[in-house]
Amino acid sequence: MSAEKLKNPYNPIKATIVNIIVNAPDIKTFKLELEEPIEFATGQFIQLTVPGIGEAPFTPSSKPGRGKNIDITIMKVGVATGVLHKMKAGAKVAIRGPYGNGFPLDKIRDRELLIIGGGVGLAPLRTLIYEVMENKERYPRPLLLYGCKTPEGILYKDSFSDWEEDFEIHRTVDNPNEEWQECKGVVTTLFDKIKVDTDECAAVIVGPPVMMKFAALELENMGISPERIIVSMEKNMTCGFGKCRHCLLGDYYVCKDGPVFTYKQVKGIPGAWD
Amino acid sequence: MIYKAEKENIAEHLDIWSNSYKLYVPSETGELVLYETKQEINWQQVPVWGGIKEFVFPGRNRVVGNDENKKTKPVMLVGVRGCDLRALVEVFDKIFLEQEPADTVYKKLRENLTLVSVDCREPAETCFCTAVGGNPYGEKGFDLNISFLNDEVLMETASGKGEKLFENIKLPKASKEDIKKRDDIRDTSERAVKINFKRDYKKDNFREKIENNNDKKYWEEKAEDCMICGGCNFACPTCYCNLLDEVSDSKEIKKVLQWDSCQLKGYARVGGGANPRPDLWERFRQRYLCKFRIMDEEFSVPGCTGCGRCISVCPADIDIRETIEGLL
Repeated sequence: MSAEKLKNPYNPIKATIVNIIVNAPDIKTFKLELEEPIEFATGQFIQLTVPGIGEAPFTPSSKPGRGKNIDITIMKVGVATGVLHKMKAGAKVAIRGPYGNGFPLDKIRDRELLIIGGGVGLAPLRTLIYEVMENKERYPRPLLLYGCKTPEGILYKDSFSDWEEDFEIHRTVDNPNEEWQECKGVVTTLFDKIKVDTDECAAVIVGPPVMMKFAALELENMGISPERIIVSMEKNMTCGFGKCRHCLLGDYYVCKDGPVFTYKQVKGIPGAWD
Repeated sequence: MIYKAEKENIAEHLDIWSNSYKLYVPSETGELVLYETKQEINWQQVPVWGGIKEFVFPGRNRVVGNDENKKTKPVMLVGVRGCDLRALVEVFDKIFLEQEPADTVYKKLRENLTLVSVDCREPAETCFCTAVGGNPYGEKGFDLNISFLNDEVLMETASGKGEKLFENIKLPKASKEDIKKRDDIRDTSERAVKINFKRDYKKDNFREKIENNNDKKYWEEKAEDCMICGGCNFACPTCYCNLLDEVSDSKEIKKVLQWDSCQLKGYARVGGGANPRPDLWERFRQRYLCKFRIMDEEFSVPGCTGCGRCISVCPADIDIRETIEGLL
């Protein structure tokens, strides 16, 4: 009836998997070519359709911006990701989005920036690492702390040498092997190794909920304000734009008010870390 | 405009309108009164089972891969109740039309709909619209509202769609006395509803009482008999939680939007298995929180219009009024 043609928000853009990179056991990066370009910001997410199987939210792991090519790093955890992991280059998928707010650049630029990743949580953080490397003058002192279960589980193993030019990097694993020379233990054990101005610095944490919970708590105890501790929440984002209610966390829709929140916003909400 | 007609005329009017509209009327179907494409109308029974959400937001509906340009005959829904109108206008239209991005499938169904509401004269014992800010008659959102007086009816139009219905029907205007009569009848109905739940969601502060009670024992006790069927959600005119079912084949992307229930265990679970509300009492409480806090915050009305369907549908006889009463 109305003159303007509204777009059906559920309709995805078709895409082809052009290449698949094995990052770690059960973690692969799918390089996609989309039929139409999309533009995403660091920390935003998309909904990926595995045709006939399901649809699930993921954060791209390639350079933010506009384009037809995006990478998504995905861990095999459930039905849709299980089928995805069996797919070969050439397979068809579909994407809609991007959705959500992304990392708040106004809160993290021009400060010491502590990027803290756990396991596959490094995938969304990779877009932030690109942001830092593209805008070096805005990030006076970036640090990257990364924790993983095993050395084999570490993502983007070849990229760390590039990142070392710009970042102070510390890594730890829970279960080291014989070659592992770096730290042992959970990611918070790395906090002893760094010196930051807790009155000024900002921290971005992405990883399993329990890791984010304890890392944020520890940072707050170190004196960093919960307003400068940023987390990316994972809830059941089904629609992606606030119309299905599955991702409600307190009064927040994780899909549109998030997925990126300050620790201050979410720390007291029941179920936040479950 | 408020017109006046004889009771008998309604059938003639509906007959005329059925030429241009596909008519759904409240009609006895087995033990229930449902919106059906039948001739016999049951004007009394409240609420009409199934309600009107199915007409704009079907239980399972193809939202991607359907023929969006397919023309359909306009639908006229007759006998709509104030509680259902309120849910449609205050909640559904806001979430699916006003909040971006608009749901194009909803929009098409909604625009295709002409709503003919009717005043409730014999509220059911499960009705409690007056306790949650409503009234047993259509206040807004209808195209045409019918009020049965004793031998006559008043027909109030509230939109271009409603006015269009009288293009070829000439009726006198209702007098002040007629409107007074209608309002007196409405007052009587209001009093009848109030007996069912002598509370007011604002004065008695349902919101704060629910928010402040996180007593596991209380909610466990209230949820004890819950069979986790989701019936309360599916029957509710304000519940619209949904999930997107992926049904694409090798040729075409297809998605189906399907009602979901926050009472089901897997509702908020994520792919990796984490679940913020694994226990029933938390999900049970969440439904109350959602209706009286989160929706109230979001839509400025509670997500409950007092239609009472959740009470009648519940196989465990759980009564939302008793749960709230226990908190006051």
